[in-house]
Amino acid sequence: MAAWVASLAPGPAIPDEEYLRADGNPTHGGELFRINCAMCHNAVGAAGALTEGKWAPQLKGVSEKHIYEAMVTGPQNMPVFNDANLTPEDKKDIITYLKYVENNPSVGGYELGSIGPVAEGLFVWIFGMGFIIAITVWLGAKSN
Amino acid sequence: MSEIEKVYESGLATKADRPIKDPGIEPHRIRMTDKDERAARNAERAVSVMFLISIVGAIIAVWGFFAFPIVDGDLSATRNNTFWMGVGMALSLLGIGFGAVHWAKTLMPDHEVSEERHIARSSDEARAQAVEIIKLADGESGFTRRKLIRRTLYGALAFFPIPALVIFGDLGPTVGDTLKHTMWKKGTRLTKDPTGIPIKASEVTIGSVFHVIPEGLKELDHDIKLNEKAKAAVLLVRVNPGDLKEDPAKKDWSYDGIVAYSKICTHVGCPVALYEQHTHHLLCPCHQSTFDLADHCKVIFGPAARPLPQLPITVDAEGYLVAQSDFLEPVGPSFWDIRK
Repeated sequence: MAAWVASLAPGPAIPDEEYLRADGNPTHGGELFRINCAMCHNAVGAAGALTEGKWAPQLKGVSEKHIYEAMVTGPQNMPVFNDANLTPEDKKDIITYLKYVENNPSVGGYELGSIGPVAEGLFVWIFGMGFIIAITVWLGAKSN
Repeated sequence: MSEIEKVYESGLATKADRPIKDPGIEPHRIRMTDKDERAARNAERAVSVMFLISIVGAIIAVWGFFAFPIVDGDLSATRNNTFWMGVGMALSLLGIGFGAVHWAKTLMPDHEVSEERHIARSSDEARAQAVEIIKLADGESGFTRRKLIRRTLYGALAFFPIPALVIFGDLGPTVGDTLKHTMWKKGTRLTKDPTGIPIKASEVTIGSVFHVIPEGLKELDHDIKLNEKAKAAVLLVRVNPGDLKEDPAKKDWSYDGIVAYSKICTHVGCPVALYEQHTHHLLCPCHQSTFDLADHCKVIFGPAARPLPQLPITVDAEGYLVAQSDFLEPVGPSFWDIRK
């Protein structure tokens, strides 16, 4: 099947196994991810909106091979990141970073979906403000 | 003349046919703890339980500090440490607070006191007396009589704040023309962010996006670097040359379908980098301004008022992409003398 598709038009090959082990440098991968990917996919790959209802998908649970192939081919509206732009080593580091944030607990407390101020603001308004209002009502109420 | 009509005459209140009656003071309700000795004992116990919870909270905080030590390099250890310290200290402080309030509400004396508001207007005698004092002071000082003194005093008071204007006018270096220029100049190579590796035109395949910084930016001091990067960041894209709708005057600003645009949104300066390969839409994530990359980054949606400035590019003898010049208009948000 792959051979038949390859016979129709040239394209990037299936990535070598050594770049898919997620054992690169997650710090470097994180920096590259924030520069090249995070604006669409969110800083930890939690997905994000594009124009006119299109969106960049979540990267959690996506296989290493799939992530690598998406970078070299640019599916749908995703741009292409060829090997001159992000070397295979860079791609390996990006995959390492994504697997690292996927498999390690968030150090800053509950992630609430990692989607930033919307979820966090909603939580604070409902629970934080709710708690403060409840205390205020209790402070002002007379004892029976 | 009734009370209501008097208010109406002042012109500030609307006349009410059925003014709201003063509801008076609520009848005093005796608390359970005053009626029933058992309820008072329960309240006493509740207060002391809250104070005990406070003690337990303090112990939890100390326990958490030692049970989850902060280990260098292990961020989840820090998370556990701060979590238990925080929970313990919150219980400790809230226990004291809730206990004290419950104590005051249930067991401390329940007298209700009300005070009537006094009339704000001074008595006629006091007002006449105030006028007398002012007249006396005017007479004794000669403020009205001695014109020279009065006028020079007005002058002195008018001049007195001027030094402050001079000081506040010189709080720091003026912006000058720093908003109108970036690091880009003729021949500056386009390099990859963050590595600073120069980019060959042949490396930018169709559909590719490169995040670009000017050559030499990486070597600058940290503070200067951030300021320069905030103005000079560029998005480099190659599209099918047939897709570009180019203004004839700007035709040679691109190179074989490779275009470079400022990454700084002309609305409030967020990095615009959400590029869609097929629609050529460039979306700003902050306020959804959308630019048509194929049509000189014209604004097609959202609050941005100007197109993203284009960086004119070409290739040098070695095939590397270089700038033809700086941006020909200021990058980023508009400011009041942008066209000067």
